[in-house]
Amino acid sequence: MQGTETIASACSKDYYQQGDAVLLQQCLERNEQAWSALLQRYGNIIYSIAWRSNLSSEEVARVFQSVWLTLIQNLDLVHQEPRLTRWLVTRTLHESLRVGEERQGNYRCDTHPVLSEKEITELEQERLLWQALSSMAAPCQELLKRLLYDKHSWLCQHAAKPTPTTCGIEPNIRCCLAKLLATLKELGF
Amino acid sequence: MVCIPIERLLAQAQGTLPAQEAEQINHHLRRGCPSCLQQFQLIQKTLSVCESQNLISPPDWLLNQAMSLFRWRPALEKANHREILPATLLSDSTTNMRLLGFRGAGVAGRHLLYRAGDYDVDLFMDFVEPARAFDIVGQTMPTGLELDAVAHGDVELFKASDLALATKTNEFGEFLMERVEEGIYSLKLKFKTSEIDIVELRALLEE
Repeated sequence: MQGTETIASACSKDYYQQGDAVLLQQCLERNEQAWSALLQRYGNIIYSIAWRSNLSSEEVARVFQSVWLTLIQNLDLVHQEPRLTRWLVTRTLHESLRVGEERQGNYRCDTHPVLSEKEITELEQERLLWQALSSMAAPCQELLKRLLYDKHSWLCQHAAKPTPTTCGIEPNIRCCLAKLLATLKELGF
Repeated sequence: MVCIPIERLLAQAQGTLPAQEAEQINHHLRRGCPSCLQQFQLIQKTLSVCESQNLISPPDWLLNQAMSLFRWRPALEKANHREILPATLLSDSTTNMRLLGFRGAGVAGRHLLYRAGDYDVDLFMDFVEPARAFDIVGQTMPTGLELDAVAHGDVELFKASDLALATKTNEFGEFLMERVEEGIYSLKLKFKTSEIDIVELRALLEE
């Protein structure tokens, strides 16, 4: 994942592990780190949906900022929303449609979104995996990314002798993987 | 029934185990160990999601802009019945140039395009070498409104909460601010019915 270092540096690990409701409440209290954590958590899905909605790069930028601005302006209502993802996805789809059709001069409220429900679900699952990975300590995160994404490392990893059952300071596959799966379950993956 | 270590389940899902061990694990899973089966299915799903890679991270400048919007606070009590519109940054020539590999593109001049409600705001920041300052040339264009909506408006440049410079737009919505010192500003464009707020305008030589 690129493009996240600047904002990430403004946000400590503790915030990544907070639930949405806690972060939204902190945003209401003008906590910038909480806002940064939300940007980290949901920025990629908002951007991806806008990007895949046949918009120009300027329009994508506009949709992205409009969605976050709407959230800022409705924090007091949204912080009670049980499913923030759904709220953000709906706003993004709506805004993408609006911006796209505004260009064509025929905005209609009843138009169907460009992305199917299945595509959105797939994006959300990717996002959840990324959120789970982001919430882990850096050594574990690196190990798991290599293990899951780098196919060349698969054979080497598994040829190694079995890992011990206790979690030491050094990350080991068993502990990191168990943590990841537990986090994914918790997130409703 | 002894459960399979999780890393072996991963290796099984990745298809990297020797045939004999793979068969043993298959046998274990077929016998219906609920815990291992659940873990195995979750690992399979995770690997399948890793394959897709459709998620795109937004660029830094866009994240920074969303961060700036959070810091933006409309001064409602000072608005005098104007609608306050925060501007969204649509395009930044510095970023575009950097993407093309021009590292020093920010120094010579920078073109920024904003949108706020029914208005587009074009800003050009020209670096004036001897003064080590910027000239900011701007134009506000109403989309779907008459041009006089942006005529003779107040343009105010703030550094933190201090007014640094002020000017007015001409009849075409154009304005000029000369010799703006390096810094991060907010720009307010005040018209009859609307006020446009541009947050964290970065007049910086290098970022």
